[in-house]
Amino acid sequence: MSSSSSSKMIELRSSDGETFHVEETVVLQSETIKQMIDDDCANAAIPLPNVTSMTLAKVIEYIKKHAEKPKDDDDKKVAEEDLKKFDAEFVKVDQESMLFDLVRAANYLNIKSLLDLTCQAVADSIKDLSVEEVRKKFNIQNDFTPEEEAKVRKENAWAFD
Amino acid sequence: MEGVDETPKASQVALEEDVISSMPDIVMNNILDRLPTQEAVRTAILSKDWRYKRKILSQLVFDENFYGFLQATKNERYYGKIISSLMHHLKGSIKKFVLCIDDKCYSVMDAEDINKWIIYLTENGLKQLTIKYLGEKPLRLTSHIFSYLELTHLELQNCELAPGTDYCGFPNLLGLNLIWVDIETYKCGEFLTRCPNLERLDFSSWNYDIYETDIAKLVNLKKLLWQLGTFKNTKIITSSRIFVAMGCLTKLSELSLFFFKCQLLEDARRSVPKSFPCLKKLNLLGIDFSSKTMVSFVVELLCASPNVLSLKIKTAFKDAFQPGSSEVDYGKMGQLQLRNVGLYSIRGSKNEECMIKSLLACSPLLKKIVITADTPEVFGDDHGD
Repeated sequence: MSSSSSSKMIELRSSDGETFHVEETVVLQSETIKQMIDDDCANAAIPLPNVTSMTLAKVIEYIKKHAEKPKDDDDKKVAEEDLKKFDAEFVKVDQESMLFDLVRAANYLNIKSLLDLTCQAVADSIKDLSVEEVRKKFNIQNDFTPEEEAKVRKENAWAFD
Repeated sequence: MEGVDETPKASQVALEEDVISSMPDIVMNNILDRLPTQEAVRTAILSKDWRYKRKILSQLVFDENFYGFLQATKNERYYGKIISSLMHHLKGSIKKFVLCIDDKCYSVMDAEDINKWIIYLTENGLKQLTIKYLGEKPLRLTSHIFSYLELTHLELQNCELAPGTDYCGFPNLLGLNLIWVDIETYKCGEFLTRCPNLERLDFSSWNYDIYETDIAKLVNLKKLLWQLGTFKNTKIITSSRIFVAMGCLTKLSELSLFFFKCQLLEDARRSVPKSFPCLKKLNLLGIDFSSKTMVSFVVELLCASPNVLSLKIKTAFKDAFQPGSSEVDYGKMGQLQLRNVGLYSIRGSKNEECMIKSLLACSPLLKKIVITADTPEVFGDDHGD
């Protein structure tokens, strides 16, 4: 299904030393790596010190899927729907921390569509939760004194009604 | 995020570490911009780290949802103050501004406030502006908008504008959506043709007659909702004049034609329309199946658009049911690529029946067809962007 097999392969190395081989056409979705290739820095394995092998494997799964080219219009429509389903499943990660690893990796690798997708998933998980629930879910320590908290609340009283 | 005092309903596995608070600004901005404005503001109370995070918002959306929230919490009286305060406290540029108000808000903010905000926004990198006024009399907006060339999207509802003589168009405008907008002292066609890069144009409930020759100049259009008639005048047009205009729009992939107060005349000389190979989605509203001219137009349009995948037709609302007769030449309809067809407000006239039969016969790839007497208000999200 994926693009031509004659494409050049690029080697990526995760923070924990694992190497991945990905077609150049696929990996170009990352602006960061594209820049490295353009600057001729991609002859050896590209080190990605900020991305673990587990996260990198997920990122590669994503960009591979998004590199598939539909053959014709009919296929295109099916592919679009298929991609939507894939995206929805992709962000359903077992652990919340994985989602943030993906956000960070997408930001570091500069893959806009993946960053938008994962940030939307984070926003969706915040939406409709109470302040206390958000603190709990993301393990945010409330370091305000009661007086300070009351002050913040007063400043934007309309939002807390 | 709702009020603090609610009992937690979350059953999610909490994170071991707080990873979200230390995300870089560019990520936080991406996340916060995706929250409703009131929820983004509420994050200030999470912790000291979050106290001012909302200042990195790059859009301010005071839409129907936000206004509904203020109404539900009885805070409408602060609407104007809230907008001013949020706007003036943002750190970076404000790329998108959405404002939805009705006449009840008018006591807490007036046209002067709104115009001041517009000026402030245009000095702070605005790209997308939406103002929907749900009140009775139109809202008069500052002509300052017209000297601001950076806009990429403009959506206005029930507003009045008077472009100055120095208006030279919006060179960067890609999307324009105008509902009940009055543009004084200006030829509307000229207003449009000065936006040469427009890709999406939606004008409905429009009071100006737009010449098809002006539409034809917007050669970059991909999506067009074209209301042929106006509330003031019935438009008289021929099929070939529509086809000639469409022939210039070589990138058009989605077309909605609204035959509201429009009289389609028989062409003096029949000419075969050009082909529109890019057209994928076609919505025809207000089709009068008792008019041979109009049904012939639909048939010709379909013949000329071999790649249309989705077709929706809504018939004209008429009190008197006219069974009509079939004198239209359906035979010329070749093989179509249609996958989805929707026919609405169908009464069962002869012409409707013939149209349905021909569509079925010419569409071997058809997946779904809806034929109903119901009249949906709008066709889903077809006109959105």
